[in-house]
Amino acid sequence: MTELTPETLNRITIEALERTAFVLVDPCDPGETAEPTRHARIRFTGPTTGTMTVSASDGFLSELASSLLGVEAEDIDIETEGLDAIRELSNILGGSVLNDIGGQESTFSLGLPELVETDSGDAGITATFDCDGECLRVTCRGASSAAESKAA
Amino acid sequence: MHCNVLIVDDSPILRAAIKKVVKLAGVDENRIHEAGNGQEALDILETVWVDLVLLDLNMPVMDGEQFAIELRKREELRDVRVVIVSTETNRERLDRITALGISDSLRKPFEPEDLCRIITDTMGVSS
Repeated sequence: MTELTPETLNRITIEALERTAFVLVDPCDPGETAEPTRHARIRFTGPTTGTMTVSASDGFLSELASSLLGVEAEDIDIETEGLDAIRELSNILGGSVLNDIGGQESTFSLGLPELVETDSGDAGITATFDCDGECLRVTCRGASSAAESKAA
Repeated sequence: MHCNVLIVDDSPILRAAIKKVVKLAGVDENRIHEAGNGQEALDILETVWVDLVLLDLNMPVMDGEQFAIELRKREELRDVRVVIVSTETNRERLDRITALGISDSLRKPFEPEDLCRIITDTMGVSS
């Protein structure tokens, strides 16, 4: 099993957004963008257990959902399409991270994505992104104990 | 392309994104069907002939693996072609599903061109 690093999480997230939805994001420091208000989490089990949490602002979710659906961002209903988009993004990023750390013989299993009220704030590997002033934050907990200890 | 395609995924937004690609591959919109889980897919297959199923694995109610097992149990549906479109990484599970006679698989996130190519290859149509 390969340890997840912040750099890897950055790369995985950027690639996933480009490939799935042609959405371009720039890595940034936490606090440089608006605080995310929507959160989705997916659990994984295997050699280690953990979670992947995706947090985003409504503006980012509008952009993501509009790209996936091929409609204008102002036509997006955040409560349905926006929340579906963040759930699916957590699923895609969770699978991509497990593929990266588990390799060809991966024994990881991914659960189903769920919406949560808040992010727990516990230590983990985090990547924060700016998308035209809108925020995306991805946090993986449990995939790299050494790096998470340093982050804590 | 004169074939019926069934997209099985619990995310409506992903189904819509996949549907766009299927249309790009040349399938008429009225030949594209959607289901939110394996059980819904089996229900659709009872009334509509489908040539190709694009199947997610991690879904509530009935997951993709269970759906594929049920599909292969049914004499009249044994030849339906199935392509996995999923985030699944577990090697053992993927091997189990492949043994059920899966035509191809594509890991999310995917390039639309890759899905387009798999559809045309699987249906035996030159792109």
